[in-house]
Amino acid sequence: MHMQSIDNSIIEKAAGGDISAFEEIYKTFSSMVYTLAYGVTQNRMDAEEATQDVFVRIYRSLKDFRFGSSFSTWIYRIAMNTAINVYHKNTKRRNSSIPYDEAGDLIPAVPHASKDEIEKQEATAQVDTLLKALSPEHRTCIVLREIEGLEYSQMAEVLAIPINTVRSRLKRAREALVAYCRKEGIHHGL
Amino acid sequence: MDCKKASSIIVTDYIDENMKGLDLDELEAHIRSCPNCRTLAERVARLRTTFKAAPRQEAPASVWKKIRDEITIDPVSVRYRPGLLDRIRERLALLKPAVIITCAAILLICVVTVIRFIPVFGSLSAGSSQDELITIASMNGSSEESQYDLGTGAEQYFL
Repeated sequence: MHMQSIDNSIIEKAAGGDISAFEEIYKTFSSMVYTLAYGVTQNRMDAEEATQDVFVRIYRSLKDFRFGSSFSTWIYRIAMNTAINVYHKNTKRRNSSIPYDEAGDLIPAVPHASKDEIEKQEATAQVDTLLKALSPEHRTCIVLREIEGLEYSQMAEVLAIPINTVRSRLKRAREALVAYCRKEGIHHGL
Repeated sequence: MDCKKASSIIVTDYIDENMKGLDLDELEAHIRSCPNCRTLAERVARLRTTFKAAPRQEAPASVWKKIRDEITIDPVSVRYRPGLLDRIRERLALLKPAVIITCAAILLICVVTVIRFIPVFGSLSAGSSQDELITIASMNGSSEESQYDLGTGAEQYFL
């Protein structure tokens, strides 16, 4: 997997208020944004809220976008910051209110799922288990590298940190995952 | 190569295939000879496989509907928000006729003032010769005399 891209003319049209051009941008990047948001928040309702916030922010900031930088990097950055903010905001709210509805975490059931779909659901469940063992910042690193397939240099750009800091964050995140698997005795697929 | 350094590289550049040449050869030689580092490399490789097997998530269709509703509420104000310089420029453009009229009025007042007062001051300064001062003084003097002339026949009677 690699960074998505879109034609500059579509971005320009969307910046001028063309909703169908903006829908094109949404179709191209929504999966990427939602995956990152879900990876960070580990809650579907939060991921939906973050995705909505991200695209409204993108629409309102399109006129400020400078074509010198990568559009997908810009979206990744907005998505990452928004997802972390939504995570912290909603976690704080849930901790100070009534017991949180776990339904937000459940993977939507696919009726009459094929073998392939069941395998994908299991893989998603395994990834969820692993990501929940990490801090949101480490989740971001893992999602960008492992699921989105970004190179270290691209991650450095998205996270606005030096490459060596990317390396050390990945190191800590993976060490934490290895330690978690060892502690929990997780062997399925690992 | 010691295990501390090797494990640090295994969980980053080695597993992400960012290594080549002698460094890679040296690390692989260490992994072959060290059971702990070999186990670590295998575990991290399995982690990668697990993440790779997971598909990207798709946002529900309701998300786009909510986004579209939000951005189409006030598309005009959302579409273009002028910056500070733009706003100053716009206001100046609106003020342009007023500024022109004010400047014209000030200029007119100046011209009128100059036409009205400059010749008087000009003559005073240029004609401050002794003769002219005497003439003015004598004019003033005659007016004083006429002021005290009661215009009655009594004065002439005593004279």
